[in-house]
Amino acid sequence: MKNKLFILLNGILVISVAFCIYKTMSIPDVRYVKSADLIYSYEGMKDAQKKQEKVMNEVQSNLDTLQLDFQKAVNNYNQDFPKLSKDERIEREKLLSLQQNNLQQYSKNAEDKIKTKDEQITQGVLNQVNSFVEEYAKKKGYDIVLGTTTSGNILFAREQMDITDEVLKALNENYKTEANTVEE
Amino acid sequence: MKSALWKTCFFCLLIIFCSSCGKEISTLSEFNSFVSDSENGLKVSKSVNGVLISVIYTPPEYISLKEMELHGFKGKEKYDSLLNNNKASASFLMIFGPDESKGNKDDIMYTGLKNFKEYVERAMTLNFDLEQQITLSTEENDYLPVLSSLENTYGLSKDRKINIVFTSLKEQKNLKEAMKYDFIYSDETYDVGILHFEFDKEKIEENLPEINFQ
Repeated sequence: MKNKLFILLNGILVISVAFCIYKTMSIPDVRYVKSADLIYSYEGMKDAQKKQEKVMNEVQSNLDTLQLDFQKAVNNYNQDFPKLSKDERIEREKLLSLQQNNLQQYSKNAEDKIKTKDEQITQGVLNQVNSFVEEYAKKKGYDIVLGTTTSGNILFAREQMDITDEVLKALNENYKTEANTVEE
Repeated sequence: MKSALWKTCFFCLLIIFCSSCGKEISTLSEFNSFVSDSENGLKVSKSVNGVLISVIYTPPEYISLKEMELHGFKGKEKYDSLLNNNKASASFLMIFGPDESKGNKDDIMYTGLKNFKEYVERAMTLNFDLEQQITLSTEENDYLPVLSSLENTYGLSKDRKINIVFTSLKEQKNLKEAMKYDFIYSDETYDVGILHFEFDKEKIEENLPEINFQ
């Protein structure tokens, strides 16, 4: 009788331990990164911003030149105004109006171009970060990597689960990867 | 007797080991395999957004051997003359392909496209505008490509290969003196952002195989 009870208790113990191990193993390994910190500290994003700044400066420089030309044309017209006949005035005003329209059109096109480029550049960086985080999580065995945003999709998480710094370090290292070279 | 046998075996193994250390090639296909093996430091690949982009540095030695085979030239003298010319430039092979491990099985020309207009833009960019999106940066200067040519595959491959050549301008330091190459691709086609492909030219040159002309 005692023997049977002993076997039964042992059986229950083994099942309990197995159940605990199973439960422990099946809990997903969840981590989180601070999305904004990760993206804005990423070297790829800094380079992208520099590139965007360069494009904006080029556009602004062209715009300044066109504005200066238009301003000069207006000044010349004002200076010549007393000497001009009615027909000449109409002709010059037409030209000025055309120049102003061109300037406005260029400004609008430039704005659209900058917006499109900005979206394209940002999307490229986000794709780089997403692809890297996916690979990194697989390598480290994380089941879920959450991204916190300022709108507060995660209200609380232990600091130990924050992997922003380690992901950022690996991400920046990966950004400038050198080819493998066999050391002899 | 036993000792002599052991000594003979040891020397045989030593000879085999030593002969495998010094790399020597005699054909272009052997050089192709060497260049395409990422362990040799001439190939860097990056995968973003289901697109796999590889850049292979094709050293002047490889280009010279390729020219030798193409024109049917023979002998070390001709090779040295070609090598001397080719050392003034740096050539790369850029490969765009779908990353099948990420579930992208499309031809890279059609990956992520929404309409025909986008296809035309992509085809135009890869054929004619890629030079504006690539820079080769060294310790002292930035170089722009002087040549970029897309190899047509006629639908036989999902990848696209583009040959890119850089050369130094008069006021720039000669490319052959550079120790490191940073091939920068500022993408405007596949939403993969700015990608750096770095090559340690000094180490690559140390590890290049000898060419056997016999």
